[in-house]
Amino acid sequence: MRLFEANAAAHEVLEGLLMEVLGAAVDGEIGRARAHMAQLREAFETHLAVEEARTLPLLRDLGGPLVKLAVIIDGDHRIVDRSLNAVSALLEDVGDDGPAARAAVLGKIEVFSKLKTVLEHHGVREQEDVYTPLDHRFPELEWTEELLLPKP
Amino acid sequence: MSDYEVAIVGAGVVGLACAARLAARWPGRVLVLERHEGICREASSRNSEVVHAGIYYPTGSLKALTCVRGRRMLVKRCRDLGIPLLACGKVIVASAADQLPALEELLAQGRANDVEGLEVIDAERLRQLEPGTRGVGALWSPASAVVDSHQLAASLEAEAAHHGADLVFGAEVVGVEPADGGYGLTVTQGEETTTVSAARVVNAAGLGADTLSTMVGIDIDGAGYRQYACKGTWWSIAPRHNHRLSRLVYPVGRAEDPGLGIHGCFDAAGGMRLGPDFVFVEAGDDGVDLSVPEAARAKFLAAGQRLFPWLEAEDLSPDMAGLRAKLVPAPKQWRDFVVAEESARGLPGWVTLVGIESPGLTAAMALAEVVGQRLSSS
Ligand SMILES: Cc1cc2nc3c(=O)[nH]c(=O)nc-3n(C[C@H](O)[C@H](O)[C@H](O)COP(=O)(O)OP(=O)(O)OC[C@H]3O[C@@H](n4cnc5c(N)ncnc54)[C@H](O)[C@@H]3O)c2cc1C
Ligand SMILES: [Fe+2]
Ligand SMILES: [Fe+2]
Repeated sequence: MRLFEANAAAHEVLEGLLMEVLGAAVDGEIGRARAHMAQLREAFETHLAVEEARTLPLLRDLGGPLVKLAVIIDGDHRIVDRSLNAVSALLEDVGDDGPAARAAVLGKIEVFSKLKTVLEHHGVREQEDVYTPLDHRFPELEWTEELLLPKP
Repeated sequence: MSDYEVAIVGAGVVGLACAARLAARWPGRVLVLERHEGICREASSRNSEVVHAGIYYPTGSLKALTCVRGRRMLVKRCRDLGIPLLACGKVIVASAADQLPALEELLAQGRANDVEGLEVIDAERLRQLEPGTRGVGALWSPASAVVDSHQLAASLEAEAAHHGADLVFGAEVVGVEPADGGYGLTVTQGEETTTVSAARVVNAAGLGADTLSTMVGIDIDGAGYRQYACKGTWWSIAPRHNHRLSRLVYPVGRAEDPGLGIHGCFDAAGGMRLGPDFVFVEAGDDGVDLSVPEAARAKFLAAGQRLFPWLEAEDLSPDMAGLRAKLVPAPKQWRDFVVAEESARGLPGWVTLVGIESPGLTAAMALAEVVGQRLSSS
């Protein structure tokens, strides 16, 4: 599997986990939402570690405008990280399962939207601007097992 | 010591451009405070997304300088980072012979402002360049473009985050006091009120910038900082016409037009819009009404049909509205952008941005550069 496909698959896993978190939270099932959140956090860390160790250095080594792109990708990662923290904090704040928690989640739905938006934009940016050119540049690279996340 | 070297109030495109630039200078020491839950919820997401060439503004004005420089910075950023940018160019169309001299004036103004590639063209060349419009001649500006402003702003936010800037959302600045040789900002976040201090403050609060100036003790009338909200609305053109235009199409501003004149623009996906109009508005108890009044349909149809003979009444549907932060209370008066470091008012390290109307999106990165210079000399 090429980098593009491996990364797309990883992002699909992350977005799928986020939908699980969101689904449970808007149903007022906060315990389940927190459990999915822990999985999402772990999956993100795993994926991030690979990209920080392998992808970003490659971009920086290639030089030119790709150095700037590496800055933006790193910035995106920090924004995703903060958005994850914001969702975790919210899930801690809203109390336990039930209608009150559900209402509190709905009142703060923007916190989830922000995470969803940054994950989606980041995914598209990486696929189009990072992994497509890297696949062209390094036809021999295959990072399947490192980039792939286990499907939940 | 202050909590931060710089606090930026406002996460519109200008505040974000300042954050990206200043966070590189002070890594981990820049704070952005935004009252909404995300970036660009006001003027920066309610505009035409046109990358202006820099034609209209008096030579040497901040509008002219930052528009031309900001555009070049923006285009480079889009190319480097893969941000969608339609290099479509624009035609400013004369619909009658008595408007032709105005094209020559615009040409001279644009050239004096160092705008590339400007040309006055005749009706035949206009038909070739943009068959979707008609006119007796036009000014062709190949440097004008359309940008995906959301992706641009998101890239600025990411750059600021890379340099360790803290962006706090849902955080409204409600008070300012001198503190620790800098400024203490009182911030409400939901039910909570906190104070945060910064050695320097950049007031990039858009339409809220005059209110923030008042909080720090600036007499906004004496300073000329009072802002007036001027609403612009757009009507979308039926999807059956998508991609019918390949250039932005503007009219030559007529004496009776209060702004640049209602024009035809499109987004990166080809969806077409007419607008914006130009109406000064007052805020009511719930803020300014951002609905699109049905009563304006006839005005838009007439303006649209002057440029696009194929346009029919049923092609138009209400789209959205945005608010310009103007420093003048009526049409046909001109003020430049204001970017001022306020040491002379006893407020060292406080930078005010007011009057950041169009071409503020185009100019954003150059405005941030000016803010950086003002802070260096403070
Ligand atoms: C109708 C219209 C059409 C336009 N078309 C174009 C165009 O085609 N091309 C172009 O280049 N420019 C255009 N512009 C201009 C451009 O949109 C603006 O110049 C630009 O978006 C201004 O950005 P900003 O960051 O200064 O303001 P904003 O985007 O308004 O951001 C200011 C931010 O400050 C926040 N804020 C305010 N007060 C506080 C407070 N006390 N505490 C915390 N946060 C606060 C607000 O919530 C807001 O998010 C247009 C503008 C309008 C209205
Ligand atoms: Fe990724
Ligand atoms: Fe990533």
